[in-house]
Formats: sequence, structure tokens, C-alpha cells
Amino acid sequence: MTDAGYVIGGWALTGVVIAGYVGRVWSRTRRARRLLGPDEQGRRP
Amino acid sequence: MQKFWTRRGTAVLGGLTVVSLAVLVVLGLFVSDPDFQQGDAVRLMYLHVPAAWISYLAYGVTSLASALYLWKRTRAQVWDTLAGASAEIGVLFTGLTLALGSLWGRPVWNVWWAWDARIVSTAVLFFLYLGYLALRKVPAESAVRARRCSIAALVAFVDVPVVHFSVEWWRTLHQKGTVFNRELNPSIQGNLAWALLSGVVAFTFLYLYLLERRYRLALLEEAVEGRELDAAIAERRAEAEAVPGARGVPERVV
Amino acid sequence: MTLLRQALLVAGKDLRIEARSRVALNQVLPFAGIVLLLFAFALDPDRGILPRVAPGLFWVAVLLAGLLAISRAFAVEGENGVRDALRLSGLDGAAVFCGKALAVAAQLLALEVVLGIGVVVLYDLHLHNPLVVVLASLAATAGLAAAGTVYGVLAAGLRVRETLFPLLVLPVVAPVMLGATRAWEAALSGAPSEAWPWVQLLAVFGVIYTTMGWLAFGPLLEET
Repeated sequence: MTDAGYVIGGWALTGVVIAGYVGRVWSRTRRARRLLGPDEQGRRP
Repeated sequence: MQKFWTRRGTAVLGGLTVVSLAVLVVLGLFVSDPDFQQGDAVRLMYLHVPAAWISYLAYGVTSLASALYLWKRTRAQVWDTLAGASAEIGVLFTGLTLALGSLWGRPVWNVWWAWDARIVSTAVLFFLYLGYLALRKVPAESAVRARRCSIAALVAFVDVPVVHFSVEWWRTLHQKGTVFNRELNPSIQGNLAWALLSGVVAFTFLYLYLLERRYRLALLEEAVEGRELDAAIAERRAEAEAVPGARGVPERVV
Repeated sequence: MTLLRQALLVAGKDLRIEARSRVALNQVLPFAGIVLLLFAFALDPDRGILPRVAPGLFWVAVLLAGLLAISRAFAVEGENGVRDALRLSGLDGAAVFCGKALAVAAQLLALEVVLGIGVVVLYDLHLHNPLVVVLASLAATAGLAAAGTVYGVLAAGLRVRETLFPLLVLPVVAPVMLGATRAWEAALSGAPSEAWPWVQLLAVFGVIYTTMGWLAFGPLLEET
């Protein structure tokens, strides 16, 4: 594999990991909000 | 201190994060030149070094927050919540640091791993905080859990310099002129330095953004747990009242 | 009662429990012995590797067996409301820590003596500079006992303690592994002066974790 392959692999990995984490936090947040109902404080866009 | 950040603040932070990451991508992958020794592989450094920096920052926040929780004058549940959120991000980025370092090492040194002092210390750090996260998941009353985790965080933190020194002595004693010289990052110059700087800036914003989100999530989940507990107690009460001649129900334990 | 007497009281209790139940003797020690054998299976005794890596294998075996011994030290507290009794006894948290750590250290030292003999016999190790070897082992044992006791109480009483405790302790005692193995290697290869920095490292580790235990044990013991 050329150097470029490692570089692309590394950047892609980073992107996937970060996006994955953001997604996980976001979906858990949505679930928690849903469980709490509309009256609970802390609503976020 | 329920609100860590205002709604506007979060949006601004999110925006800054996206913009600075975009700048990083442009500078790191396109604009900057390849290094004259490492070639294009140096582009991985623009992620690896910031990731390492973020994890140290994250663990520092965890340790500080844990200390603030333990000190009576500043004790508040929020510190423990913050400590946990920051540690999770820290572990994520330590893992990324190791992976990126490995991907960098393959083209540059021709190995996936090296027993270099910094690499080994980082690996130990990874496991140290992975254990802390495992401890956090153990269910308990929040004050109990907070104290236990805060103590664990400080005990781990105290170990970090000892690990660092011991590993460094170990590896410098055994250097014997290997290919892996200690100067992993010889002075970076020109637009490479800008790319690296943009990486550090972008990842710092990213850390703050992730921290805010994760912290908010932790608060929400604590609230959900509290709700479920209340509901369970209300059910017990209803059951007890429905049975004629039932004894009084115990008061809710706070 | 002075702290020292309290500590000795607790240590004595733990050691008496061990003397009666003999779990460390009948289970932990054989476990360590089997580990030594398994290393030989894994590393092929005919290739001359074993004497060279013997210090490392010794300390890994001590560490693994030590995990069991420390787990056991806290498992005995889980029964019959012993933890509550300890809390209510009025004994100082720091003293209980010292007592438990002392008992653990005593068991570890006994383990090390037997394993040391095992390593000399099984791996054909020649014991040069025994004084340095002993000093290094004492320092390492103090550190292992202190750190292990801190994490032992942290994990005690949790349902996941069997898997959580090793995960918590092993990264923390990495410097002890390093220091103890390098000190042994230096002593056994005829360069005992090189062992001193490592012995100092082990001593520093021991002091740090004894301090941590001293401060944290009381609060940790107070949990339900």
C-alpha cells in the first residue's frame, strides 16, 4: 500500500470514529428526551 | 448549575468545530506539502498529535473535576458528571491516537508497533481510563458512585507520571541505536506547521463540543433514571394501598 | 488504641482467617505453580530462553496470583456483615488499610519465596546478589500490596468485581512490573548497581500508593 493509502485510511478512520460517537451521543440524547417527555428542562436544538 | 452552556453557545461551538475541522482537512490533506523525510505520511500527524493532546486535556479535566468533587467546599454532582463525560472522550481519543500512530508507523518505520516510551505510556493510559469507565458503569446511588469514581480517577491520575517515568527509563536504557530515535517529530516547518496548528485548534473545539454534548446527555440520563425510580416507588405505593389492611409504605428514600 | 495496634489487629485477623481456611495455601499457591509450568510449555525449555526471561515470568506469576490473593482478602469481608462491623468498630480507616495491606503483603511475600524457589529449580536460574534481589522484591511487594488493597476495597462488594478488579489494578501496577523485573535482571546479571534506580522507583510507587490508601480507604469503606 502506498503512503496515500495509509493517510486516507487514517483520516477516514478518524472521521468515522468521530461521526460515530457524535451519532451515538445524539441518538441516546433523543431517546432520553423522549423518555422524559416535553416538560423536562434542557431541551436542545 | 444545570445549564452548562446556553443554546446559542452550543450552536456557536458546533459551528466553530465544523469550520475549524474543514480548515484542517483543507490544510492537512491538500494545501500543505509532504514532509521531505516522511512524505505524505506526515499528514497523519495532523490528526495523531491533536488526538494525543485532546486525550491529555480530557484526562486533566477528569482529574480536576474529580478533585473538585472530593473537596468538601466545592462538592457538587456536576463535577462527577463532568469527570465521566470527559474521560469517555479521553479514552476515545487515546484509542484514536494509538491507531493513527500505528498507521503512521507502518509506512515510516515499517512496523505497526514499537516499544517506544511514549507509545507504551499511551497504551497503559488507555487501559487505565478504560478501567475507570468500566467502574462508572457500575450502578449505585449517585453520591456513592461519584465518590468512588472520583477517588478512582485521582488514584489513576497519580499513576500517570510514575508510568511515564518508569517506561521512559526502561526504553532509554535499551535504546542501543535503534531506528526509532526519540525525535519522533523533528521540527516541523512551513505550511506543515500551520496544518498541525489547525489540527490542534480544530480538535480543541471538537473536544469542547463533544464534552458539552456528552455532559448534557449524562444529565438527561440521570434525570431519566430518577424518573424511573419515582415511577417504581409510586407503583409500590399503589400496590400497597390497593391491598386492604396493608402496612404503611416506607417514605421515599432520597 | 494507636493506629499501629489497630493495623496489626486487622492484619492479624486477616492472617488468622487465612490460617484457618488455607485458601491462599491450597488454591493461590498451586495456581502460581501451574502458571510457572505453563510458561515453560509456552516458551519451550530447550531453547535457553527461560533463564533469560525468568525474572519477568516470576513477576507475572506473582502478579496474577496476587490478584487472586487480594480478591480473596476482600471476599472474606463480604460475608456476615463484616463490612458493617468494620465500619462500626471505630477503627480508623487508615489503620484498616494498613492492616489489610500488611496481610496481603505477608501473603505475597510467602508466595514469592515459594515461587522464587520454583523459578530457580524449574528455570535453572542462578541467584546472584541475593540482597539486591530481596530488597527489590520487598519494595515491589509493598507497592503491589498497597495498590492492590486500594483497588480491592474500591471493587469490593460489586457484582462485577471479579472482572473489574484485574482491569483496574493491572495498568496501575505496570511500573512495579517494570521496576521489579529490571532490578532482578540487573542483580542476576552481575550488575547490581544498575538495580538501584529501579528499587528507588519501586519505593516511590510504594509510598505513593500507601499514601493514597491511607487517605482513601476510610471513605471507600463507608459505602453501602
